[in-house]
Amino acid sequence: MEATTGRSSRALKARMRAISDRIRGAQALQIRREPIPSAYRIFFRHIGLDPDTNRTPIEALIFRRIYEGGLYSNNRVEDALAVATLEVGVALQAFDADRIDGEVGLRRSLEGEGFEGRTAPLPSGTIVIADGQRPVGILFSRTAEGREPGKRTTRMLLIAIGVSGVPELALEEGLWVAASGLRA
Amino acid sequence: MGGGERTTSVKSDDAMLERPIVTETPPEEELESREPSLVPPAPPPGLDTILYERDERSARSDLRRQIAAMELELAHLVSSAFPRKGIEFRVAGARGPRVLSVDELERVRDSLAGRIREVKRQLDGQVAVETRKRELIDEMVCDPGAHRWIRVSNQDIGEPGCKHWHSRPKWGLLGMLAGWWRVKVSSGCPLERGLRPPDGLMATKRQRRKRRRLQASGPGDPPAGPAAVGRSQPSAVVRDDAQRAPAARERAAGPQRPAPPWGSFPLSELVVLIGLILLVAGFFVSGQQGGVMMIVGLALGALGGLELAVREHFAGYKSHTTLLSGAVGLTVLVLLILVSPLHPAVCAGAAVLVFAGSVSLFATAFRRRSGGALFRIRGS
Repeated sequence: MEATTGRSSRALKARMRAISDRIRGAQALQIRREPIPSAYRIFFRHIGLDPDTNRTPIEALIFRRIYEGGLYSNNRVEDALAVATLEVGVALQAFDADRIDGEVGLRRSLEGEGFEGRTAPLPSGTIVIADGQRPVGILFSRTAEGREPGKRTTRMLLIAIGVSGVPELALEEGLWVAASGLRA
Repeated sequence: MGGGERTTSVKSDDAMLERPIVTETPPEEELESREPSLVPPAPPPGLDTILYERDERSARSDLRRQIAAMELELAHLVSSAFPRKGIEFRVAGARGPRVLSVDELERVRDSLAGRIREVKRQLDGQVAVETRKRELIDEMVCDPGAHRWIRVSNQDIGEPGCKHWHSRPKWGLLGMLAGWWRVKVSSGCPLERGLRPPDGLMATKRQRRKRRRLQASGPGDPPAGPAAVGRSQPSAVVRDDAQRAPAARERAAGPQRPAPPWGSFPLSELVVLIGLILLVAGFFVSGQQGGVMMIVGLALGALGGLELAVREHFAGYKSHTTLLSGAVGLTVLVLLILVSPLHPAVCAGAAVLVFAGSVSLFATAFRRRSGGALFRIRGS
């Protein structure tokens, strides 16, 4: 989609504030029992992550809200993804579309494969988000350096990471909410 | 998650609204038993074949299902354990994100099972203690005197909040001496001030200087200089509110507690303290001396209290009509009994009359001093 980075619009910030006001401390504990967040927690266990250490995207945002006392605006992309994740519960990630070659999908890293922004090669078998050429992100972790939306970005690629138990409709809605946030 | 069932909807010609028929596929083991398995028990050495992967698939599926069920159970335990503290819920990961082998999935499952077992054990232990504490509260309420000074808080019974039950004497020292015990229930939490924000969020020196500068200039003063051009100015309503706020706060705070004529020296408090010391000491000293000490202690305590009551009453800060009238009536009663030959009943009648007259006088005095209020509690 055509989108640029920069400051968030007033509408997006207002939406973040409204969501922030809705979040209560009890939610941080209860959220793990809701269908979509629990599906992510289970998937984290399946792929060897501890969801209490590497928090699922929605839990990370809720804990950030609790610890910081509010959801503060960073930039348009992060804010739009945060709003969509908090509204729908799905994990989303954004890339600079002009720096992605071909289709994006999940695969296991190869032996000795490098990762931009990391000096050591990735451990073999790490699940990565990759385009046709190279890994562009580690699943539920960082994005490769230079592949995330930056100041010169004019086109963005939004992806939703679906896991077993998350309906297709939620993924589509998450993407739609994030896209509308980026356009706002 | 699993699935293992197929839904088939069959519509009859005459009844289109019939419920769908749900048929379940036979279990995989049953399917396997019908036909001889083509999958060898183990792959040929050094050959990573598709057969081996297929063989692992059902085991992986089972393990993932078990992990999912345990994760849900652990999540349920986490939320049900709140607000109890000191229970560890974490289960270490396996250095992901990666596709775990069957062994690793088994380890994750076993770790989850172990954690669930441990959490349940700790919860059971805590529940037993909490049950005992609840029973203790019941016993305290039934017989406060037998549970002197015992205090049970909400945390002790596994509930949120700052409420606590405390077995205390009624009317302080007097109640303690007389054996008047009661259970006082406190429900008030301290005012929320919030946690200190993380270091990364603390205002920098520059931000603090800017905030101080803004506070010093005041909300009503328009910012000066070329930088102020284009900056939004506070509206007239905001400036007016800012000017009214201090006066409103003063009004809300009400009249200040009257200062004693001897300034800030805590004379009354010292008198009360000496009275208390004498009272306690007299309790332990035997004989006539002890009695005298207690009487003097009571008198000093009463004097200190009366001084404060008189000061507050005649400053219009807080009405003490009943207390002051009672003191006058009691004094009259004691004097009449001691010095006059009248019958005690007559003395009591006279004291009641004096009390009633005093009530009227003190109430009138308070009304005059407070600007029309008949009574005022805590200066509100």
